[in-house]
Amino acid sequence: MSLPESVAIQFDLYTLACHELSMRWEKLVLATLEDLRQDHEKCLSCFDGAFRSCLENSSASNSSQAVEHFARLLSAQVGLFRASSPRSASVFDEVVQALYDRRHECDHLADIERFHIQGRDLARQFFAESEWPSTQARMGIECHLELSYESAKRAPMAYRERYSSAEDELSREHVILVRFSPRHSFTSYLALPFFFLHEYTAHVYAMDYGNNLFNDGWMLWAAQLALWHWPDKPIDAGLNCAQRKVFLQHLCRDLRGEPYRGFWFAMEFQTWLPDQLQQRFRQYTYELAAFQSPAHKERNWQKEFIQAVETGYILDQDRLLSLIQQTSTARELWTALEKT
Amino acid sequence: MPRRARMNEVRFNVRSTALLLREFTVADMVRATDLKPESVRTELQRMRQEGLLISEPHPDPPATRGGPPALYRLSDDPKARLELAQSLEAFYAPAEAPDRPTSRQYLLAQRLLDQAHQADVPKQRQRLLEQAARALEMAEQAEGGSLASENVRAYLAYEKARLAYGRNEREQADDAFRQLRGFFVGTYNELMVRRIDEYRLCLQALSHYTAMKGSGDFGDSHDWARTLLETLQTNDYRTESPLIALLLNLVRCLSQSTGEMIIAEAIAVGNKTGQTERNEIRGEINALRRELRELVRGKQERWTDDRMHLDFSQQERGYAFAPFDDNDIMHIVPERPPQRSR
Repeated sequence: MSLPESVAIQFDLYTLACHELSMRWEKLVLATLEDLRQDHEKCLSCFDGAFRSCLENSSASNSSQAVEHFARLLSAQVGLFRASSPRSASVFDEVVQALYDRRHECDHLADIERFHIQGRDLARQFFAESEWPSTQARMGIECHLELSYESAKRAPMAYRERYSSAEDELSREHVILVRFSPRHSFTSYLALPFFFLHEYTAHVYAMDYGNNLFNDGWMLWAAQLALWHWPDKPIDAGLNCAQRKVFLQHLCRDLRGEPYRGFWFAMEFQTWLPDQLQQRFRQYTYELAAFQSPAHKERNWQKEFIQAVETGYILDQDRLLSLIQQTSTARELWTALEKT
Repeated sequence: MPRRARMNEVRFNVRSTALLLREFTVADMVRATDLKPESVRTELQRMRQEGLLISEPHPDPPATRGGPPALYRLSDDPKARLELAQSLEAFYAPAEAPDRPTSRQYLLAQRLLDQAHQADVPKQRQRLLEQAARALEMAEQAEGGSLASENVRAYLAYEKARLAYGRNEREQADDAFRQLRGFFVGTYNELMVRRIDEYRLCLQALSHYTAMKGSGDFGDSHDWARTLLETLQTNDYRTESPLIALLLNLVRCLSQSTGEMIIAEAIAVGNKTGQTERNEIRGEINALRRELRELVRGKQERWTDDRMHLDFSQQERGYAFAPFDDNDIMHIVPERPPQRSR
């Protein structure tokens, strides 16, 4: 799973620089809180701008050169607000110094693998209380990682049950493709553990029949929610606050089509459920994730369930609530909704 | 003047975090959002005034100076919770007015109408149409009613026309489609014009068939298939879709009666075979003679192809197959004693 050397050098720089900034994130936030003229979002845009410029223009042939190029670009950006926000500027000075000190320690593979393990661990916690045999059977799966560089706009990660890389033409099972692109930013670095959590919960451990409304919609909200309440306490693998809400805060705006509709409906539906029925959302999620389509019949049932609930939710919420209370499982609820 | 964080970003940040935290103090929210405390307090106050949050004294206050901090939590009212969730989605709505409906209610109405058109059980179809009608009403409200843009109202009207089509309200549907066609032609919307034209063709075919049969019962699939094909031919219908083209071929086959299919098959087989096989086929065709006589009686069609001629004549009392001749010409002639092959 290797990137071309020139890209690998930039990716090393990316992971190291983002790591150093994330270690000083709270310090940066505190610095901007005290300064009415600056906020952390503006600071981030300077950081991202410097990295993008480096990626597009740098011809660095090794890590030291890449760090040198990036450090100069970042310092130039920071210079624009140094006089007005010295405390914020000093945080970036520390980042630059750390990059120089650690420029021989760049290792994007180690960083990515660390987030991979974090995400997988979170996914196992996500399904820990699912009693469905089909889910339990899949919980032992551990994916291989395959890194690539993509200039076109694509999802940052994707799971493949079977995958052959162009490099060695070997066919492997359970591969997560990790795509590095010019659009990468500090935000996308923060989101890496969440993306791994999503791949495992929505595609590896859950049954995936290509129902985007469920796998890439509903399950995204479920993963986001689980980092805060599942149902009473969050799943936890040492993520900080920014990592836990980065998807909802910044990245869900990239959703389109069925993933968009599935995500927002799941959020509304789960929010709308009364407190005493909150555990149903998790229960339905487990049941949908465990659904096995016998000989590919009913392979759209996950999508059909969500659509049936959405229909009931839009047309008659009182009736939907009553049916939820009268039924025990997602299958029973769906049957009751389809009957009338 | 000191620059402050953009108000929309603050509102979204606080509201989305409130949804995730569910219960929190101001300090919790500041920690979770990385926003300035004043900005957080202002937004929480606003949310409380809007009924989205409830606040009460913290039941277990930390040991700090000053009074116990307020504990905020989401309102128990499901409508308020809904409003909070929906307000987040609104942050992703495009700034400019959309050129077509985007509400969930509209998408639901579309889906229900699609399902209704494909439903073959009348009761299920009716239920879907009723649900679609309700969803469409809600969609009109959600899209802004009379304040919606002309384009949005046109798309809503299109779904209403589809509803009328599904309910067999043909005249109403056709009127609506005709008016909408003019609108979409004016906006250069080829896709919608094409869809409307197809609906109008369907309406035309349905009307012709009903007029011919006196009822809407599609019991005679051959006649229905022929009516549909004639309507398409009269209107010079063309399609780029390979699937539709394949289906039309199937419809053409369905438009043939069983007897015609048997004869066509016999011709096709005869054309492909050698002399020995033809003798066998001749025997089989003669055996079919009696049945075919019944099937083709009264027909006035002329079947021709390069190698075989079949000529039916209504005036003849019956039909018989003459044996194949050396030129591979087969004639169907009035019944007379079979001739021996040369």
